[in-house]
This record gives sequence, structure tokens and C-alpha cells, in this order.
Amino acid sequence: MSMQGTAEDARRAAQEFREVEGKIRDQVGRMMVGQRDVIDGVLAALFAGGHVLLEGVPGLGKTMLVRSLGDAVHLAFSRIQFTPDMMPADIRGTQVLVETEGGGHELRFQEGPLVANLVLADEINRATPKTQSALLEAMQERQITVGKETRKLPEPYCVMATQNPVEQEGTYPLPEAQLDRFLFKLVVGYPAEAEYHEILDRTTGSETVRIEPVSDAAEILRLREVVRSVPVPETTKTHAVRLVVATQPGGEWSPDLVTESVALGSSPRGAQALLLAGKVQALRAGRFAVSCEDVRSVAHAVLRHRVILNFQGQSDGLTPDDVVNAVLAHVPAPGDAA
Amino acid sequence: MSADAEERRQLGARFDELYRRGSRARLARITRRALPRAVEAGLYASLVLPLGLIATALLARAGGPNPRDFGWLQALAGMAAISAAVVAVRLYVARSRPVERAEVLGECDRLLEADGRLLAADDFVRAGATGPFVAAALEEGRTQLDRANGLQFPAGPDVPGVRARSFVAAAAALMLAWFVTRGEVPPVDQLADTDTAIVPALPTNPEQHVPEKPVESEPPAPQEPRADQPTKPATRGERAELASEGTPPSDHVKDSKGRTKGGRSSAAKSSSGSGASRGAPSSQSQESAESEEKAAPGKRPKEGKAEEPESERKQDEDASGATAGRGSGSGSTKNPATSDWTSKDHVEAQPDDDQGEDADVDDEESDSEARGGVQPSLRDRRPPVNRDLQIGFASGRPDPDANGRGGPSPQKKSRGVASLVLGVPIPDHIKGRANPGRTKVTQERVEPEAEDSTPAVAESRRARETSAGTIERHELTPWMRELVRKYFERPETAKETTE
Repeated sequence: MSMQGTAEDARRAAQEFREVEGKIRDQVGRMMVGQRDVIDGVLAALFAGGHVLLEGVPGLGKTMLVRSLGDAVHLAFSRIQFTPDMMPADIRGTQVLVETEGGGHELRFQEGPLVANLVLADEINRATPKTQSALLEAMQERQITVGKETRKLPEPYCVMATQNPVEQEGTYPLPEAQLDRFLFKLVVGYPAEAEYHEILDRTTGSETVRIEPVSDAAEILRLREVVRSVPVPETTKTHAVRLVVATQPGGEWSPDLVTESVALGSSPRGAQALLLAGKVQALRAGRFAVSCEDVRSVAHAVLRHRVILNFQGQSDGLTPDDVVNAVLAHVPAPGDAA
Repeated sequence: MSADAEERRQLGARFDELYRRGSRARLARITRRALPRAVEAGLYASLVLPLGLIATALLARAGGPNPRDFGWLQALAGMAAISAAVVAVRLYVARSRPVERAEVLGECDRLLEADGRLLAADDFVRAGATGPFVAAALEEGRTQLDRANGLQFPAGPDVPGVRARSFVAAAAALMLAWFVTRGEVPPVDQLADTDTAIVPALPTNPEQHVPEKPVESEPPAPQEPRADQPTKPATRGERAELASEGTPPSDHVKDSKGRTKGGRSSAAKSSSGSGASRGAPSSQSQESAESEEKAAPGKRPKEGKAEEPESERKQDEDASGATAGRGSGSGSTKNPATSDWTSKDHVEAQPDDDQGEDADVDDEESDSEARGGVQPSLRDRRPPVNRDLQIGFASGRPDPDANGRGGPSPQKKSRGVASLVLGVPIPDHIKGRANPGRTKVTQERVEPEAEDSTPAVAESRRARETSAGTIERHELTPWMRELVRKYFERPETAKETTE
């Protein structure tokens, strides 16, 4: 294989990635105003093969974002509104008794809303831990098991969950094991003042915005392969590992703030997520290898839900983002500590 | 060798060259940054030699080398050598840290705004990675290498210079060295005759120096041990005695000398030798204070013991409290109002500050020695110990025997819980039968009064038409509940709660 030819293939693949992502972003942008970081995060998770936890107060368009994305990529979309009385069978599906053509009866699996390409788990923290745990297998193994039957979920499979940080009455905080399975936790903030005008014009007028599908499942899967083929230099791997280790209390690279205020740091899944998201960032930037800056740029989204503060951290009013900031300041990228 | 491999080798050589350039610039920056701190450390280290000379001066008292054997120039050279060595070591340590390849190439990336392309390409070349994206990354790295040919590494931020305090330290070191090497060291006998050890050996004012004497000079005559005195070093009491030479000792002094052994009676001599102690009663306390100033603190009990025969001789007068006009070093603490117990074997209660345990031990020793060491202690003839814990009699009169020490004395003090109650005698327990005590019943005759009341009339009510409004809920929010739960689950809090 000649060096020139292979490089050309990589350039073409990277170019295709940028084009498809740009089209999807444009379509989602027709519905969503602003929230550029959130849209980029959702798209990165989609191309990296991860799941996203969206956190924000009501009315910021979290549900609309995911629905728009489902329309733009032309994927099977389902929405689950989680409530405290929802049971695992309500989302996975269950065996139902159906009549066969010969007049007999048989048990047939009736798929639940979890069986789709793009699943919007709305207000996921309102479901009981039992129901929340039903998502674990789907998110990690991309399969569901009902009785003795295990079914593979369709690819691409992506769970986008939302939760409201304010209305905490009657909610069940997500367990750490489930939080760890989300690639990103994206915080949806209020739009800027200028964006309010655009939001009002789009939503209170008579014109209805229709989103055209610009991609499909096959293309998303192909681009996922492109993302995974982006190489990671050893230096970048080392930096990602150091960032993850720095979130663990008592770690070799941990700042004092982590040792004092963090009860639980990131797991190796955090390092995997850093590199996967870094690959998407590298392709977006037109590079063919993941740099340390790519990893650092996604550190907040990747690590903020993997850092659990201890009592002292909570009493000091710290947030996981403060911890990630301290980690980034404590572990400089190569060449920054000159 | 294939063309691809040759291309990679050349690329690797170019990266190596860039790394060497970058590491040189980085080392220069490290040196520039470490130099002021190293110089500061060197200036501070110049203090080592003068301090060592001071230590030598102290050793000279014990027959060690004399610091004056060092010349001024020798000391100066030594200080310079130490400083230079410290600077060299500090610089060596700073430069000995290996400059990582990633740091150098990462800095090149930052300077060229290459977004990690150089670092990635170098990594792939050295790892021998292959693939389409690796090839594309190598091409990008080659392009960035071309740009890096003319790259000028920055000199780095301004580094603060040597701080002034280090120069002050160096100046102090020079002065110390000069004084130690050129100054005067008092001879050993003078050093031994003074209580201050270091400061006189290092005079700060050369004009006040005593003429130079050999350190090994013979000690003066009073220091020579005599046959009738123990070979104990001179004490403050003896020096005080020498200082008061010329004052005729009183008769009391002579008596003390006659009954006690040589060196150990010095305190008794110095304290009881104050002739003014027999003066007017009004000056008793001042004279005692003077005596105490002259006597060493550890020797004060002996003073009392030296006068013990006299106090035994005047036992009857002391018992009546008639001590006015007969001042002594410790004074009389007898209080006739609180103790009516008189006996031949009565032992006066001494003030607490004069009755330390050490003093008791010394008293017994001196007693035994004064009586030839064969007579039993006076305490053997004391009445049996009174173990009654009750402080006072039922009538409220203080128990003269209850001093908590097993002998007659004034009212018990500073013992047990009762001492915590400021002067209020509280018995340990109350005798009697446990009951609620007396009950006071007060009866009051009140005429009943009629009260007006409005009886409620039953009526049918309709449902509420308006909103009840916001109902305030007093329960905690979930995150606050979680916070409280975690707080009480903490090991420290759980321990405090159980305690």
C-alpha cells in the first residue's frame, strides 16, 4: 500500500464525515436556535456510538433537539416518558398471547419503545431504579433480554436521556453504574438574548418547520467506522489516562481538590470516552490523529457525570465541573508547561 | 529498504533534529530560570562556614580547635567555595531533569499552531504505525516540520532576580566570619565563669575586647579544689559568697557552717547571712525577697532546713504566731486562728511554694546527714493519718486534722472535688433518708367568675371557591435530605452521636 494512496482515502473519509455532519447540524439547526455546543455534543455521541444525558431546566428544547435529530438522520425514533410507576416490561416489551392463523395461540414478543435506533428517555430520573436498570443492558450490550429470549437492538442505537436538575421531588437519582454508561453529560443552558427573538419567531408564527432527512442508519454506521479508524498517538493516550487518573482521589496526578472533595473518580470508561470523543473532534478539525487538545476539549462533557463529590465537596458548594477544571489545570498538555 | 521505510527514517531524523534544538532551548530556559534561585541558595549557604566557626568556638571551651586558627582569607575562600558548590549543585539538579520529547514537540506544535500534528507524526514514525489516517498524519507532520525549520524558540518569561534578603544573609555571613576569625575568644576560665556561653565568645564590639589570652591558661586560684571541699564546680551560691566577701558573717552563719558539710551549706550561708533579717518587722518581706534573689531557687529549701533547729528551739513562740519581727527567708506560715493543735512533734505547714517534692527529699537527706544518718525521721512520730474525707465538723467548724495529708493542719485545701467549689464546704454525701423534702402548700381563696362565650351554630358550608394558595411544605428537598444523610453517615459524626 503506497503512502500517498492511503492518505487520500483518509482525506476522502474525513471529508465525507464533515459533510454529513454539517448537513445534520444544519437540519437540526432549523429547529433548534443556538445551543451549538449541545448539538455538537449530541452529534459527537451519535458518531462515536455513545449515549447522551441531557440536563437542563424545562423549556430549553431538550426533547425537541433529540426529536429533530431523529428526523434528520431518518432513524427509528421512540420516546419514553419515564414515570415512577413505569415497569421494566413497559420499556423493553413483553410476551403477549396472540392468535395464530390456524386458530391456535402462541406467546409472541411485543417490542417496547426501547427497540428503536434513537431512544429519547425523557425525565429518566423519574423512573424507579428498577426501570432505570432495565436500560443498562440496552445501553451497554445493545440488547434486551425478556425471559429466556435475548434480542439484539438495531444499530445505530443511541439513548438520549433528559433530566431536570430542579424538580427533584419524587425522583430517583441515576446510579453511578448507569451514569458511567453515558458517553456525555451535556448541560443545556438558557439561550442568549438574541436567540430569544429567533425562538419566538419560529415557534409563534404560522410557518411550520419541517426537517428533511439527510442521512440514514447505514451512513451513520459507516461514519462510525471512520471515526474509530482515527489513530491516537501514544502521547495523547497518556494524557487521557492522566486526566482520568487525576479525577480519582489519591491518584498520582490528582490535585488536592480531588483528594479532598471527590468520593469517586472516573472509571476506565472515562478514558475510552475521552478518546472516542477526541476522534470525532479531530475529524471535525480536519486532522488525522487525535491531539491532546481534542481530549481536553471534551473533558467536561465526558467526566462531569463520572465524578462524585463527597460530603466536603458538596458542603463547599463545588460542582463536578469545578473538579474537572482543577484536573485540567493540574495536568497540562505536553508543551504547555514550558 | 523500501521507499516508505526510507521516507520514515528521514522523517524521524528530522524530528530528532527538531527535538535536539528544542531541548537545547528548553535547557537554556531552565538554566535561566534556576540561576537566580541557585545564587540565592549559594548566598544563604555562605552562612554555613561562620556558623561552623561559632560551633568551633564552642568546642574550644572543651579543648577543641580554636576558630582563630582560621585566617580571615581562609574563611573568605571557604565561604566562596561553599557558595559556588551550592550554585553548581542547584543548577545541575535543575538541568538534570530529562527534557521529554513530548514536551519539546508539544511546544513546537503550540508555537506553530499545528494542533498536535508534529507530536502525532513523530509518535507514528517512532511507533511504526501504518494505515490511511497514519499516512495522512505523517504528511501533515512533514509539512509542519518544514515550517519548524525557521522556528525561534522563545526565551521564556522574565524571571525575578536575586532577592535582596539573600545579599543581607551573605553580608551577615561575612561579618560573622570576620568577627569569629579576627575577633576575640575569651579564655576557657572566663567562659566557665559566666552563665552566657556564646555571646561573650563572639563579641560584636571589637573595642570592648579583653586583651588576648591563651585559651589554655591556668584557672584562677579560687577554682582549685581544696581538700576540705568536694570537687564540685563552682555554683552560683559560691560566687555570691565571693561577691559578698568583706561582709562579716553573722553568728547564725557560723552555726550553719559548723553543722553542715562544706559545699552543701552554701545556700544556707548566703540566705541566712543577710544580717537585715533580724531588723524591723515592717521590712521583713523585702529582706526575704533580697535573700531569695541572692539564693538559687533550688537551694531555698535548704535555707529553711538550715534554720530548722532554730525553729524547733522557738517552737512555743511559733505556735502562738508570734513571728513578727523575726524575719526569715521563708517566713512563718503558722496561722493560730485555724489550728489549735499543739504538740512537741508538731510540724509547721510550709507554704506550698516552699514544699516541693524535691525540697522534701532534700530535707530528709539533710536531716539524716545532720543527725548522722541514724535517727528516724520526724514524721515517724506524727499522729496517725486522718482519713476522714469530711472537710468540716457538723457544726461547721473546720476539722484541724483534715488536711488531706494525714496530719494536723489548717482547713483542708486543694484536694478533691470540693476544692473546685470555691471555698464552699460541701460534704460528699448527705446523711438521712431520701425523700422529696418538705412541701409547701399554699391555699388561696378565689371566688368563681362567670365567663361569656359564644356558642357555635351548626350550618351547612359550601366547597371552597378559590384556590387555597401555596401550601408551604416543611420537608427537606431530596438533595438536602441526601446531604443530611451523608453527614450523619460520616464516621466522625456517627462516633460523636453514639458518644
